[in-house]
Amino acid sequence: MGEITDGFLEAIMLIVTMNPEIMEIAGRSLYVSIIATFVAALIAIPIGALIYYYDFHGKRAVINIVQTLYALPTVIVGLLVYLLVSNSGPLGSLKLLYTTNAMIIAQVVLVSPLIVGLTIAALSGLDKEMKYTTMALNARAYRAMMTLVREAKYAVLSAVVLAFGRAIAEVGAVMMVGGNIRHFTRTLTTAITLNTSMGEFATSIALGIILLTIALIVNFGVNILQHHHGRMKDD
Amino acid sequence: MTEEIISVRGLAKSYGKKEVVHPLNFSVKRGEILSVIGPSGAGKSTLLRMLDTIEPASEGEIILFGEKVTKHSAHSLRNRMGMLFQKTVLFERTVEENIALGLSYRFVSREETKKRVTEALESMGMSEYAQRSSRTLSGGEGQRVSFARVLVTKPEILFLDEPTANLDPVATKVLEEMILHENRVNKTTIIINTHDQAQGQRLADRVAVMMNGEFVQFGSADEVFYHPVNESVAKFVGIQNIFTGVVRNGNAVSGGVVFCPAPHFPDGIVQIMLRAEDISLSKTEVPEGRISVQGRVVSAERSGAFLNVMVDAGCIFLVICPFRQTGDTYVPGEIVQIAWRIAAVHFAKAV
Repeated sequence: MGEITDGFLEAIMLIVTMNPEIMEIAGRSLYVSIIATFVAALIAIPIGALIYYYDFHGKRAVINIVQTLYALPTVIVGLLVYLLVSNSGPLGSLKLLYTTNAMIIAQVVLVSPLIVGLTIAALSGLDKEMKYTTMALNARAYRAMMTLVREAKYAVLSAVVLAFGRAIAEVGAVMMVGGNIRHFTRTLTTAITLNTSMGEFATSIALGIILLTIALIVNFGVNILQHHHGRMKDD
Repeated sequence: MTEEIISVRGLAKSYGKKEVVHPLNFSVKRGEILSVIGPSGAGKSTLLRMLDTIEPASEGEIILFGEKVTKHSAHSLRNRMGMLFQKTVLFERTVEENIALGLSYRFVSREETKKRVTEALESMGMSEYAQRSSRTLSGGEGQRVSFARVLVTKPEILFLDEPTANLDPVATKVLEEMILHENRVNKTTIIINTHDQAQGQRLADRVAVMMNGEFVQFGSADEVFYHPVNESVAKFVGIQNIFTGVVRNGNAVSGGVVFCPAPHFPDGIVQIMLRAEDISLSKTEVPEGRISVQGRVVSAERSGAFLNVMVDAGCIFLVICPFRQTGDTYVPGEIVQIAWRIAAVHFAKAV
């Protein structure tokens, strides 16, 4: 019992005093996940819009696969990206293994299906007539998709925020391709894993509190967006 | 200016195994208003979407402005057409931006866009709405803005899919006037879908009755409304008195009632149709030159300004008369005279 209480007190001290190493780790976590989410959104929102906009054979199957990939195990992503960026892999010459860039790639792969799937869902939530209207007004496909994504912006944005939440909480992939190197690729999750196994509970708890706070903020953000989205639909 | 602007041959649409539009052949002349009437689910919306080239046809061909619709020609053809939907579609932007949307898709210059949008708002008397969010509009205003968004692109053909179905009577009238104005002033060819048969009659030069994916009748408004080809069309265009009867010895008879002479009709089973408002009702006198029969009032009830009276005269007739014209009231059991002009009776072959 004493260990946990002490751990908590020490953790709060570490946060209040803005312990440099803790702040550095939190900063890196935010950096990696924000960049990864941003890149994933740039790739995944257009893909989602394309899948929504065009009718093609096997569309249902594609959507099913995308949805299955929501639950893609992080270690599988880690393995895939590891193989990709390791010295003997196709991107080996770029020397990405054990860098934050490799971690970003892994998180992009991890959260892109989520954004693709939720973008399709967001657009499907619009009236079918809205798509017809853009077509009848003779929009080229890309203009129509832009109009429709803009119209579903709250739902799409909450998909992106959700993806960020999955990215920052993930540990397996960043551990494998980042290596958890101190001052270099150590993030909140990998640091908690390491510190806990070393018995450094105070540091773990401090990092955990920060991670949980970020998760709360993310959830709060999603709620606000969904509330806004819901209100729009009611009108 | 009477060339065929739309021509359709064997046009059909299936979703999976279900054929929602059966092969259609028809054409529309420039400047004409064609109204497609029919119950919900008859395939009217699908037909319009195919004509506007936003939904591919399963079979057949469409020729617009003398050019065949293909994957490649669709975009440029669509530039000359516009479509309005039953459900008002407004984007979450200002009224002005909504109206400008089609022009922005066409890369029309900023000055020209501004000019056309301002004109459109002025002509609707909605200039002060320009900067308002589209979400603040009423149903009627919203549909007018949607219509303006189509009109500023200067379409030569307009497809209107039940444009007033969700509007109140006043807003319906305003939009109908805008539709007629567009046709009369700009000579725009219009195809309008409606399940409101009276609207079809008010607006259209010709009426097509669509049921179960087929045109069951195609003709002038009067032809369709007074001479429906069969019982289902008759019911749809609001003919309340439809009796199965026979033509025998040159007379059309049903339930012992001689409806009218039918000298040119071959003997056999027929549907006899008579509009409720074409029957006159009185307690005593029988107007000259009419077929009249005596009957007994079954029921009488007010419906707005009209009185709906059911009369049993061998067949059960529904008679509709303006309530205040005579001031008469009718009670069940009362003996009355009903009468109609010979020309008001219409026959169709029984199926």
